[in-house]
Amino acid sequence: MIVAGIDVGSLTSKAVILKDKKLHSSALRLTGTDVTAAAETVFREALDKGSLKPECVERIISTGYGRINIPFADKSVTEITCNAIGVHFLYPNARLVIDIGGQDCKAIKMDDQGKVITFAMNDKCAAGTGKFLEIAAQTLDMNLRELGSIGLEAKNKVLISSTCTVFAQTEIVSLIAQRVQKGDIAVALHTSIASRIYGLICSTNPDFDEQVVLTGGVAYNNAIVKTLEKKLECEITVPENPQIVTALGAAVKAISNLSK
Amino acid sequence: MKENTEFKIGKRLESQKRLGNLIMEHYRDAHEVKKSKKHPIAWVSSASPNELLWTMDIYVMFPEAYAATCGARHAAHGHCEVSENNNYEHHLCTYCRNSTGSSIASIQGGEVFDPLPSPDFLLCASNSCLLITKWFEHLSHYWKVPLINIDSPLIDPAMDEKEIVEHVKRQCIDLIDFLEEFTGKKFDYDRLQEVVANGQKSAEGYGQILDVNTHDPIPVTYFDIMAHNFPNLVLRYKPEAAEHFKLMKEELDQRIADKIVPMENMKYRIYWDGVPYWFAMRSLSEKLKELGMGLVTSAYSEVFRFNRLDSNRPLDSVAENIALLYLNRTAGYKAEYTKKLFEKYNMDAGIFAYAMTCKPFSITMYYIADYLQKELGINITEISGDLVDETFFDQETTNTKLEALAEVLDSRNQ
Repeated sequence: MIVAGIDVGSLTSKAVILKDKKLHSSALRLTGTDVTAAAETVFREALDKGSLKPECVERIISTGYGRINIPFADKSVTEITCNAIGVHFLYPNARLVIDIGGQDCKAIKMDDQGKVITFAMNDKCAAGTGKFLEIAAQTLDMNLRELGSIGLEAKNKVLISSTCTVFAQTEIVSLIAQRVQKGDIAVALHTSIASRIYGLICSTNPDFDEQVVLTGGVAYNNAIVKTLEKKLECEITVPENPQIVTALGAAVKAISNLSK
Repeated sequence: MKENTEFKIGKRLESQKRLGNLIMEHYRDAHEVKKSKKHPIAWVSSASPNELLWTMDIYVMFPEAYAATCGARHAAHGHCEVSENNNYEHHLCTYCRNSTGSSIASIQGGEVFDPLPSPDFLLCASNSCLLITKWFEHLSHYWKVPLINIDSPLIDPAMDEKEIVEHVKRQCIDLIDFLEEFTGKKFDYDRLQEVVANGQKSAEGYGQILDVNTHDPIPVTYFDIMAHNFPNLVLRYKPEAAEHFKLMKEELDQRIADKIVPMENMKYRIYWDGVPYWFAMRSLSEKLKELGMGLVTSAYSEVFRFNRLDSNRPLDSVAENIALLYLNRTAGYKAEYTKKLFEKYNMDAGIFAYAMTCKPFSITMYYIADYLQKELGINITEISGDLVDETFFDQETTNTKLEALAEVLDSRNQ
């Protein structure tokens, strides 16, 4: 049995192919301005990596913000449901997922079947998401990896009060002018994001004694993981490839959809 | 939910057409009144002691209702822009920005969507919103007309409700003095009794309309009902309001008898919390229908019940109507009240619609949502947008949240 999940996010598109309920291949690329083309390309790349032809795939589920613009998908399911399914597939004991993507962040509380109990998601404003870190890194004249590596420990505590990308940029410029160390600014940025996400997480009434998983591109940022762990007072599991978890969930959903 | 297989899908309600006519006549008459100078015109906040004004034949206009209309017609943006050009900031209440902007534009001869006739005086009460007094103060400044403000404190459990009602009643008596002086006419208490009697019948009729959706399946969605607060808010002093609700009730009862429903495959009974996003109601209605979710009722309508009116105690009941308003209650009261609504209407889930610029209404929302989830174990989703400012709203993000809620409900039923 071969199925696929395609997650078209605001920044990146991901495709996952499962063969006999096991991860067979995956691909990732920038979404760009043509959602349908991005989905087609990333799907083809995943097929090529797995040496498969499109006709081998028995069911395709699309997800992510571009999910309804993928004409070759059999069904679309929200990224909230798919994310929970993907995490449950990898970590059956997980009960809370925090997903921080390019332009959204969400907290999902789920049951022992991977079903969503409750969820919270940011609104129109992309405050506290990957885009926020991207702009902040640019302002500090460094890449995202560098930002994550220097933002672990502050020599001097400074405060970035806003998670609004524009306001935070103003604050960073002001801190640079005050000759504050980049590492201290990076810590402040990560603390600011963690505070924003903490509110979102708390609105789902989570149980931090259960396993907590962080997914999405921002999960690659070790400083965010550590800052969140400190804030939540619990250990956070980061999958090997946190960006494809939602696409994985879509593929898992395709299996159950196939059996209907 | 009952299966819809034996049911027929209803067309547009006759009552919607009649409502459209009532609204049109109200605004047309207002302009005629202004032109003829037959009666003074007052702009008021929605829960002011308006019975006293109607008794004195003052024509009453509601900037909040006007803002909702501008929002629904996608016309509020221009007015808000005028406000912002005059240094009112973007996060200020958009009802306020709409009326301030349209007022400034009217006074300066600028472009205004269906402008309200200018006011001769203003009346507001602090029961519905913390900002409203300052908002009306600005309107008073721009129009150069008097403002009367009724202080109506929050109904805190530690306070004596009777004292609060007395406090409001004393101000109503002061308002009567003002009206007598302003109009040069003696206040007619027999006429007040008549106005209150009309309002009482209207409020009873409005309540019956809201109760209709306790039926399963619902004969109409809340989208079809929400705008019918207009007659009970604006026209309740006239017999036409009660007549409208009587005819509407008959129409809805007939729908139930004829097994007419508003949508196909309705799976879930959904509650709406918050002021409607007037500009997005059509798109939200279509989305919810697509997902099999029928909007049933909302505590928003409680604001417009005005069900304390009693023609046997005209002035006292007018004061009670103002002082004991739902909006003027604590978060705990609202949470318990909403819980009762969930039980009464047998709700499956709730949509909590945060309005970015309406903090007084939205601030209790998270508390209520959390309370309901813990007490009833129901599913909810929180969306964000605004009353009339479309810039705060994102349809796609909202669609994702609504679809996810539908998926959660579907998975619970599997």
